[in-house]
Amino acid sequence: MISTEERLRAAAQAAARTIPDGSAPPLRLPAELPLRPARRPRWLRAGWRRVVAPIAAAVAVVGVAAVSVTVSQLDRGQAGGPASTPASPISRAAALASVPPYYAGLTGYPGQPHLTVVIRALATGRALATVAVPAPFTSFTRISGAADDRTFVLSAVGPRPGGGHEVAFFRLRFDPGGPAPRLTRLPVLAVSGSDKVLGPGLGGLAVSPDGRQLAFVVLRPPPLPPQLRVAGLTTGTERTWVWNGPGWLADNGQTVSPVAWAADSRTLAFQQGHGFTSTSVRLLDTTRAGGDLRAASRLAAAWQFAEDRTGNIALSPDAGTVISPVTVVSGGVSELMISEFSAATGRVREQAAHWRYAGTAGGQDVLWAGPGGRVLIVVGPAASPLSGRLLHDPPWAVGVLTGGTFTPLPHADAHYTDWIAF
Amino acid sequence: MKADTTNAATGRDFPGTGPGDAGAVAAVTRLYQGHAVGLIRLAVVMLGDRPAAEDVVQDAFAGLYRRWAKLADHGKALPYLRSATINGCRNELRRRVRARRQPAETVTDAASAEFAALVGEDHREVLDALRRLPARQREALVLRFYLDLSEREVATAMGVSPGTVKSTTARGLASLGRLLRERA
Repeated sequence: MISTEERLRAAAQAAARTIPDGSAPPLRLPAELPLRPARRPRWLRAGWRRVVAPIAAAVAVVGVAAVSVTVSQLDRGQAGGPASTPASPISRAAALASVPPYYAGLTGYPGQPHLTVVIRALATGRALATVAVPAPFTSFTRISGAADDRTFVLSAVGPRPGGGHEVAFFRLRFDPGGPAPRLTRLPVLAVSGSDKVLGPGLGGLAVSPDGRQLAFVVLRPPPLPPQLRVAGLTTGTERTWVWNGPGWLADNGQTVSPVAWAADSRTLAFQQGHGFTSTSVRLLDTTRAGGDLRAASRLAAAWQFAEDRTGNIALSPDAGTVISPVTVVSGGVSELMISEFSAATGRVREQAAHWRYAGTAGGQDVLWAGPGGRVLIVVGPAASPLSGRLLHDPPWAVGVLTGGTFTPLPHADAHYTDWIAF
Repeated sequence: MKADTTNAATGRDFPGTGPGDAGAVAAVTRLYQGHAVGLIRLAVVMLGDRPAAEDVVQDAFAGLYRRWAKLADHGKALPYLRSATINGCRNELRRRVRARRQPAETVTDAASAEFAALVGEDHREVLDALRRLPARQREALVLRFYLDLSEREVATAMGVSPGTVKSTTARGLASLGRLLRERA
């Protein structure tokens, strides 16, 4: 039976095929060029072909507003941020200078193969290197960055001779002035052909700051419990912890990777939750022997969340603070927060961001935490994060969050496709 | 298959220019050459009416041209055009609804006969049902399943959060399925 989605895709493609290549009418640009797109009086609106000038005015106002909000936020951020925001522990210039100069993103869209990984300069968005998924693997699936801004670890999935599929890991080293980067296959298999796994099998993925250890979650079909594994990339050792408790581990079916390392490359934070409403972050000392994950780890923070989603998490260098997106919806308003929990008490220490969104929303996310733990790269509404102002359908951006101000990164959105790592 | 509004050149190829500059004309014209057909296809999926789709896209480019000098990042020209096309389609459909309440006004209410003949009966049923959905659901479904944009890109195009895209898409698919079953 053909699904609704398939019928929709087919119908849309059929409709699109009614417009042959090269059949667009000539472009007719307006003779007058108002500096500001103003909505003109009705009697002045003469359509260039039909009575669609009102649409033009609305398009100009609405569409340009969407673009200009991002730009104006960026301008404000560079000028020092709103006066009402709390004092930053470090200067804005220092914060912006501390973010990684490069990021790596998987091209392609969710549900489609990620055939290449592209490294880009954060400041300009310029592609510095592109690396294709190596045969016989058919798609990259996840990516994580080490602390040196040069080392990334990627997972890739491909068919396994004899049936099934396997998920392998590759290291990608990038040297801005050196030869073209290439992939080195790591001696770790997440999934081999004989493993029983849920979907592609790989949940969260995080390479340690020193680039020597890889933490990843293997999702297995019930009643098999999910596993958290930590592999030594130089030693070849591997330890496995099993989550025997109820609920899910590190991946609630979302395209996020809620596993994070502290600066010591020893303490690992991972997300664990129940159903679609409650979640927690637990800390694991990865030098301990493998075994029961619940017993080996300790609860650091727990909260209820409003939407059926999790997010990426970050851990401060000293493992004292867990940073996570938290969403609360009440009375038609969504409180979108980037919350900093004390890992000792589990209490919220600070809201790094707190946007108030008119309607039901979610989707803010933590992508990177700076060495001082005070500079974050997040995804969120391109608006002042602590103003308390109710936002109505704001544009969203990838940006730097520090000291109560959010500065969208130029170009990051244009190239952000699916997975991204700093 | 990914639809074709994201692969051609973007405004990043062009230097910043002021309104009326030859550079702005050249830049917007080149964008038009690269993306107009893809955007018209997007609009025709939304509207089922080629002339209206062409108008919406024409206005989107006219809006971009007016704003060219003020766009700090010309690399965002394509996302701008996509959003403008979506908004234009939304307004066109609203205009049709308003016009239905005022029968004296001449409107293009249904898909053109030529369009209907070209897409076939089954596809037309789906497209008719699609256009009966609330605007946001319709837009989310088309951006997600026709353009194959990611949830975040759909969110950017619609000016909503990724979480909203997810829930709106799910609700839209469910509603579309229900409408199609009712017509079966």
